[in-house]
Amino acid sequence: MDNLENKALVKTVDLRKYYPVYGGIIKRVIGYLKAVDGVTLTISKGESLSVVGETGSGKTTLGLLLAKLLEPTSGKIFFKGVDITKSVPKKLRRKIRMVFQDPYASLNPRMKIIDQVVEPLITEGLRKDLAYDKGFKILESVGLDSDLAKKYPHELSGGQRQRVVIARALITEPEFLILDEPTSMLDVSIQAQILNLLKKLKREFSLTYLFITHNLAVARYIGDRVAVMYLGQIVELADKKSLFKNPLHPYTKALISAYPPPDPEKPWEPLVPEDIAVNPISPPSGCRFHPRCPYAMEKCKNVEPKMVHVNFEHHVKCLLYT
Amino acid sequence: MGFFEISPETKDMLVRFLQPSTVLGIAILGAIIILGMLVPLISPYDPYATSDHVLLPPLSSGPMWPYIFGTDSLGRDIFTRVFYAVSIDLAVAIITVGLAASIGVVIGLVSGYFGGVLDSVLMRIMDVLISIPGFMLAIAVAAALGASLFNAMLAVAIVTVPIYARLMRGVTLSIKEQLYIMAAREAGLGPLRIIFKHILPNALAPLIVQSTLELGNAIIYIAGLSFIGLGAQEPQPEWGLMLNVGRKYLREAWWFATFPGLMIFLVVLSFNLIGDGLRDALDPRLRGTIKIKRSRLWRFLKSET
Amino acid sequence: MAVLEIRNLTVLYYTPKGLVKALDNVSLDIKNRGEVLGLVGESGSGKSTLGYTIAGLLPDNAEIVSGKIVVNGINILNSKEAGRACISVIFQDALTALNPVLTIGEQIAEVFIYNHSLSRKEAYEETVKVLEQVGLPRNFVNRYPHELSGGQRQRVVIAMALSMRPDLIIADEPTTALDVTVQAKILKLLLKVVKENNLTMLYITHDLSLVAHMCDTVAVMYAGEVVEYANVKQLFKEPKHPYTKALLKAIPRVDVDVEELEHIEGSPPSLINPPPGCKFHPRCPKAMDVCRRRKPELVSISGNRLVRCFLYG
Repeated sequence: MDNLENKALVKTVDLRKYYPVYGGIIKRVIGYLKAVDGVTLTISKGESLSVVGETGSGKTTLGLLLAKLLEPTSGKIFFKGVDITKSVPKKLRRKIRMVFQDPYASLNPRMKIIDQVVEPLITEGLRKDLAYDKGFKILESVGLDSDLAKKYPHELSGGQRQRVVIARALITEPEFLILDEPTSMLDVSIQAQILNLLKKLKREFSLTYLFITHNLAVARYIGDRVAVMYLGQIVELADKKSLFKNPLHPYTKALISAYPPPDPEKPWEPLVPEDIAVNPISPPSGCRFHPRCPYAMEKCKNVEPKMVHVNFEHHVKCLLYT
Repeated sequence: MGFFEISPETKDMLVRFLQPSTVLGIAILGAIIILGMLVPLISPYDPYATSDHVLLPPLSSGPMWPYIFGTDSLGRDIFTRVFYAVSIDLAVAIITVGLAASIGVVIGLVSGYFGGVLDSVLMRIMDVLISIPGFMLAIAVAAALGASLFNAMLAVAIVTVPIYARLMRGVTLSIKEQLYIMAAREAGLGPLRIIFKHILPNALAPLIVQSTLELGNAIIYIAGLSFIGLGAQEPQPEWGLMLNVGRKYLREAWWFATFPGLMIFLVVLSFNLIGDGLRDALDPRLRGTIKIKRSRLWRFLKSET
Repeated sequence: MAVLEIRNLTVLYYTPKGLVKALDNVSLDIKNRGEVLGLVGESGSGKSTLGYTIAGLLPDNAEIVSGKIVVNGINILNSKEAGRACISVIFQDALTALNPVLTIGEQIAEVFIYNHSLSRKEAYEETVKVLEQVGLPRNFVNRYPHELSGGQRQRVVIAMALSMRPDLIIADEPTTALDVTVQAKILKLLLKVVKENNLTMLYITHDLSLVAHMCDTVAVMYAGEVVEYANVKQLFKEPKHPYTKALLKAIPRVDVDVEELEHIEGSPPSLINPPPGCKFHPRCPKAMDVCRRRKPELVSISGNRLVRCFLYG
């Protein structure tokens, strides 16, 4: 659709990341770990896309690919219409930034906070005093007192550290922010603070988010659209309302049901698939979810479903709907 | 509250550092260094001046003050010479180790960070260097360039470089995996900045510990080379050299070789003790593990809370 | 006689930064056998410390300064008596809780042989039975821990806890490391096993949503103190303490659309230098003058509930 293409900030086409697995005495390649296996999606300017998945879904790998910290095995990535699959032109590099999961590990323990926040600008060649000016301003925007600037990471709380990481990402005035589980390691009350901060920053700085999380509730809160990933593929993609009102993919349904409502009077009936150990190196044939799917049909073992539109913004990869 | 407010983390490090053995090491080294500075200033004897008072035992009376450690085969006061040698031996050790560390650390950083062919080539070169016994290399250098203290230092430095290179490479490999290094790459920082501003500062602890041990080793090496005639030459006051000459007189004048030998032993011992203390102090996993409830030092340091 | 009685328990940690008061005069009960008490709180609340203290697993730098803990009439802080009590612990990380060089069967059988003096044959029979109870097939007796998935390992740990026929089970965040779908199954299993065998459990977690469905009673902890105690229905229907209320409003939801999450300002207080008066007052939307000056006591309010807040007395 022409309109959509114009507003697309980020586009991926059949993005794949395979890791070769070596085995045997002569260490030849015996298989591939298909971390990301054919992801095609379009992220519009100004939207917040949540990507949800459990361990092994490939969501973090997808984030790293989009942040250009990993080389894709095949497929394409476009940013503002420019093909950035092989390399990102200098002007655009500062426009795509990433926020990592562990606020303690992502900061250099031996460097002051403010020095780390301004580093991206110093590297770009900006004059020191101008860079530090911007640094203090950014710290303010993320709600940190300037007297914290001269401190070291271990002197800050978890929530404060995560704000520093966000500040460091925002200082280059990015348009696209990839956030990999930015609140998973924080307490519930602090998580709420940071999520609200992220919402505020998005409005203030006109950002576009790719928000990676394993927590469906957080995905619901922060995303406009939600993509559900399983074993390297997106199995359902829809706007928030449609996904939760009418989940289509059996995995999505299982995922939603697995969350207990914080209310003892409301029922908690998880319809959860068997937790059989799935080997990511040789995933099941046909539809990857079939061994665990309560609705599996005969053809699910052999035919790999393609992504279909069910409604305008609701896509699902399941033979029940083909 | 005292003049300098030390953070609790620093206090804890001090407690771990100032263990009895480490304090002993500091005391010994401190005493040696102080005497090494003092004796040249106050001793009435010229370390190079020969005299007729040959091979006198310790505490024999001399023209100015007693020969505290006795005299050597050329009538020189051993006490004066032994402490003149402190500055020479320590300076030599520091320069040698400093040189080796500077080169070795850079090799290790580059090797560890970039990996690939560069890493393989550099490490193979290091393997070769480390297999050469230092003494043989020193002999080769002496044969080529002549026997002198400077050449001995060169030889020892060359043999010490691979130790630093390997150490640094290992540390670099593990730091490289840390999330903040990936974050630094993400922020667009170039490899040089990452290596020197992010990896190196976090690798200091093992380097410092290794260096105290290497200082001890360097002294032994240099003394050993002087012992076989490839290092310091007469009439330089240097412990290894004094040992070499003195060993001929071991039976009739035991003091000639014993005191320089004792100095080598004490200095190397103190470096090792200090190195052990540093290792405990700088290891982040040991934070807060000294039975600090019972440690009086901890309670004293904490007393202003 | 209550299954668990904790009275005036204070535990300190000696750290380089100073003395951390992890538990501050905590008193708590599990009155009935077969009851599941949820202990909920964020970092620094003291919930894990409480679990470790009961289990006798405190590290070297911790000190139990005062208080008593009685399990089924046995004073477990008295080292002579303590051995008679049987407390089993389910930890967060099942992989490290299991011995990697023994098969599952051997590890579970060990419990029967040593704790209940059964013969090898009898122990094997019981092992298979208990594996069945946790939903694992009998051939798992010959498997090693690394051959199992995370969820399966946690089932084994539950099986071992079961086989000890304990007076008390302490489950400390048993599913935090698992995916949410696996978590759901394991928790449902844990609850079933506990209820079927009429076991008493202390369930420690930071996740209030789980507490809603796993527990009969709930104790909310903040900065080393119990700030609210009620049965689970009361707590969620009518939370009393401002912290509990705020916590409930800060949880993102899967089942409903939340316009705006209400977050709590500030961060958890220092346990070395806690704020004067009520420890929550700097962050409390309802803080009054007295909250800064005096410490509130845990008071009893209607319906067998306890709250530590000046709003209620």
